[in-house]
Amino acid sequence: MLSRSGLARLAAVALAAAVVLAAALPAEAHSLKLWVRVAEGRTLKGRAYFPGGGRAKGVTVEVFDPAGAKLGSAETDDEGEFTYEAAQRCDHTFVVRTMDGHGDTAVVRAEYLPADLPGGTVGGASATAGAAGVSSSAPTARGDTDAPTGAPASTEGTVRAAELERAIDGVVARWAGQMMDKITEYEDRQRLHDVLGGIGYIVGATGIVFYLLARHRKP
Amino acid sequence: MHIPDGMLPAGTLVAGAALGAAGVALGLRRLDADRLPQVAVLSSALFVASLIHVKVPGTSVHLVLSGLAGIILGWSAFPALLVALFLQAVFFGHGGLTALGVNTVNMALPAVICHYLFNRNLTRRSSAVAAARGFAAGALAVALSCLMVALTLATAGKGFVAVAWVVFVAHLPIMGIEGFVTASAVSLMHKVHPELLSASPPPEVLEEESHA
Repeated sequence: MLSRSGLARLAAVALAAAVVLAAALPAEAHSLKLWVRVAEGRTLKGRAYFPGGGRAKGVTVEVFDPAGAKLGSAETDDEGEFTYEAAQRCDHTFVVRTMDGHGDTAVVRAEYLPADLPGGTVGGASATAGAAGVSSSAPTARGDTDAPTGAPASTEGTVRAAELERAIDGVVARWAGQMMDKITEYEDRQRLHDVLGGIGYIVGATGIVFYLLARHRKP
Repeated sequence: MHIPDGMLPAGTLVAGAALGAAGVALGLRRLDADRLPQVAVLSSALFVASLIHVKVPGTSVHLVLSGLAGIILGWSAFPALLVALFLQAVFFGHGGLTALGVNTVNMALPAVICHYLFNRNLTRRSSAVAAARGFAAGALAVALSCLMVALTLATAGKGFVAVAWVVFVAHLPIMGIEGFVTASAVSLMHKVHPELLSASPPPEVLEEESHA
């Protein structure tokens, strides 16, 4: 029969091996993740991927409005990326699911979409059916209604301000996109202390069970 | 292989919780203080195993080690897996908490099946047989789990055959790896500490010198 010291040694070796293994491997989260952002204007770009495990290609992403009605769908390309043109100014919920059960959800809030889209109330008092016509999309240049307060009175000045704002939008979106990549990667990476935490709980639970068994044996 | 929250109908979740609770209760009854360290060590190994990924085109799969847990622990694989799955869900967001019962059954039931198939008289057979049985247990446990996951997802309306095929094929490398891992672990234990593989509860002993 394995003596207590022998068993303790075995347990210590096994646990040490587990911890070393977990620390040595570039172990990252396993689940399918989805990230969607406003690329420019009403163009939304998204990515479906397995952190540490590559991109999810050819996966269907469905889009829902706040009421749960389906707005449309998109399919990821070889890079796991997809594009979606928003037609309403409401919260867009993107859902991705693969056949074997992996999945994730991402929400793009209405406030980040252009104000000139139909269904203008933030949080989606949903647009009427008539506004669903994609062709009635936002004009390519933002009109006066979207000009920031204190904009120059002249039309040319308004147009230039709008163009400038769009240009800045584009630059910030690209920069923010890369920041988001980093944040997501950081969130998903397993840290050694998570492993130690889990093993700590197991050790603690084992101790409690030992105690209970001992109490039960000697009343 | 972990099923997240929000995928399964309530009936499946309830059935899974009930079956899981029954399995865990049975596993706890067969547990005694001498076996407890093994259960704890295996539970930790199960917990960490899901961090070891293998990249497969289109998806990402990870080690399970349910075959190893089954062949050593038998019914006590249920509580060991329950704890490991709970910690994986809480720490890594791996699999849902409402689906905990379902996930436990999907992984523990194949483990118990492998115990009954491969642990009989294991200590009395040769090391080669022990290694072969270990390989079989490692691979079969994963294969059966794939089947059960597909069955479970079928209750959510997904076509069973298509899902079963996708999950099974994706896990083929895992079956191979786990086969080898379980084979070497079982073979080592068989040579050095065969009492760890004994199906019956070990007798109570006083402190003795070991020669590990």
